[in-house]
Amino acid sequence: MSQQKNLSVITEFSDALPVGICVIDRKRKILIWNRTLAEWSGHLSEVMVGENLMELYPDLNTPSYRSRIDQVMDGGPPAVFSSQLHRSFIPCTKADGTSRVQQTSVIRYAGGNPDHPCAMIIIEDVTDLDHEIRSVRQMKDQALLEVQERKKAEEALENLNAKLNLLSSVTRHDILNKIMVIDGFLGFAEDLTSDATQAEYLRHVRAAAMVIQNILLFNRQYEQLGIEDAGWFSIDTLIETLDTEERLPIYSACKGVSIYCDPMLEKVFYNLYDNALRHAMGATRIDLACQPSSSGLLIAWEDDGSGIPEDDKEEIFKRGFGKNTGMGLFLVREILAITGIAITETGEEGKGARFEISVPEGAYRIANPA
Amino acid sequence: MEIDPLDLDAICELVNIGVGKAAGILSEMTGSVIELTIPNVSIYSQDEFSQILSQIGKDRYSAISLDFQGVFSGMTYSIFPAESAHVLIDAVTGDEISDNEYERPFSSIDAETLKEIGNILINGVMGSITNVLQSQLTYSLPSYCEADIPALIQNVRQEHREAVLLAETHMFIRNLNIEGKILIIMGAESFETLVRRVREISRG
Repeated sequence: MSQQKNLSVITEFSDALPVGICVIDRKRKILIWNRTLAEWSGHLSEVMVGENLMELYPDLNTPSYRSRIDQVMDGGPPAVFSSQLHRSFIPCTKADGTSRVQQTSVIRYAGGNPDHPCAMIIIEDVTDLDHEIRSVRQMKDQALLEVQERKKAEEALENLNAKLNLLSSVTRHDILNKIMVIDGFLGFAEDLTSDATQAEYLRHVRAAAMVIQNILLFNRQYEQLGIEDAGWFSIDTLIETLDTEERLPIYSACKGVSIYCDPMLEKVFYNLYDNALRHAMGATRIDLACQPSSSGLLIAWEDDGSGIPEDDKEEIFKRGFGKNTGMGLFLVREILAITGIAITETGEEGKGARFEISVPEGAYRIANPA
Repeated sequence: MEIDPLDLDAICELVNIGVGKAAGILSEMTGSVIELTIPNVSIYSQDEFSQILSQIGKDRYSAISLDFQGVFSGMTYSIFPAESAHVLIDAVTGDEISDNEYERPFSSIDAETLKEIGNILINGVMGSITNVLQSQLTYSLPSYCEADIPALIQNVRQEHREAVLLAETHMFIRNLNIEGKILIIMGAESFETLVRRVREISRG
């Protein structure tokens, strides 16, 4: 088949394709300009065939195009021109005035006559794809920008928080020092006074100073909540560190159990034990049990003392409740809540107090017995 | 076929000429100076393929492939580790280079860009080789994939995977160091043809 016949067959097929096709000879004369390319460029095939491609589109004379097309013509591998590095091989404007983004391949076509090779330029329209990817990128860039701004805001908040903590710590320290002085001098004044009414007033003043001291000490502890990352803590290890008294021993059945909690977990058991020592009248022992439940793990802390009246069961967890500092059980609940652990009192008045600690799934582990 | 250091030197020179030509085109195209280091070339026979893994690792690569047929048949790959591929795309397109995006998957437009860069590198090297062979080859259109080295080798027709020429180079764009490799996987006969022609030219 002659080259002319070959070209005629290719023209017929290329007119049916949804890609732009242009065939040029070694001198860059246009041999085929298919229907799609005619529509995209606005130039009819009848006008384009026979024209010199490089004269019509001078940008193609730059080395990045010319040398690569030469290479193809000389028998080299096909050349591809991506849309990111070459927005369009043949500039084409869409009806809305925007440019058609293109992806182009140039392949050699001997056409039955190796002495007169041609090159076939195949142009794909990737405008929609390009816009889609660019819009996704823009969204991603916007999201990244927001994340960066949020990080900056978080850093600013952290700095501010650190300053407030420093101020709070210094102030607390100074007030505690002064309270110690007040306490000392009130003690002297009480000793020196012979007036019973005056002594009574001084005791009230001193008690009020002690309340202020307790509030500040609680404040110091509360400030540490959530400061350090939560971690895994063995219940038995924490119980062993408690300074227990002979009259109120702890019997633990929680061997190998660890829970995921704020590092202040030791304060939980310290406060529960301190609470029992102070308020569990007649108690002789504390039992600690760990039992998997439908929602996780149930840790029961139980004494055999006087128990808690029905009306107080929820009140005891409120700040300021009770005869001592009124902070202990409030702090206990706050510490546990950081990692989603709940605590309630379910004992029976007269039979003893029972604190149930509900640990959610995933926040406890039980070591296999050796 | 046994090859001596002189053969390897001559093949290295061939690859270097091709890579140099590619660097010129890439520099012109991107408007940035792109330098490619002299490639480190090594050749492996079929029973030495496992050594390629020990030399360049088991990572997945962004690979641009070109199949060729004729007196010299096989497949050429231009491959880039994922991080280098991301840096390369950002560098040649002039995008801002961000450190935290190297895990992101490649979009089809990214793949097209890599395909063009790989195409330029491969065409440079294959141009040098065909000049020496003085023979016309038939080529496929380049294509893009992401795979590890064994999968890339497996992808080549069995009779065309009896020898591997590995050329390792580094590309410097805007002070960025980008790692890239060219793998030419070919049949034993093709390899012998190449070495024979190289000897004829280099030793007269």
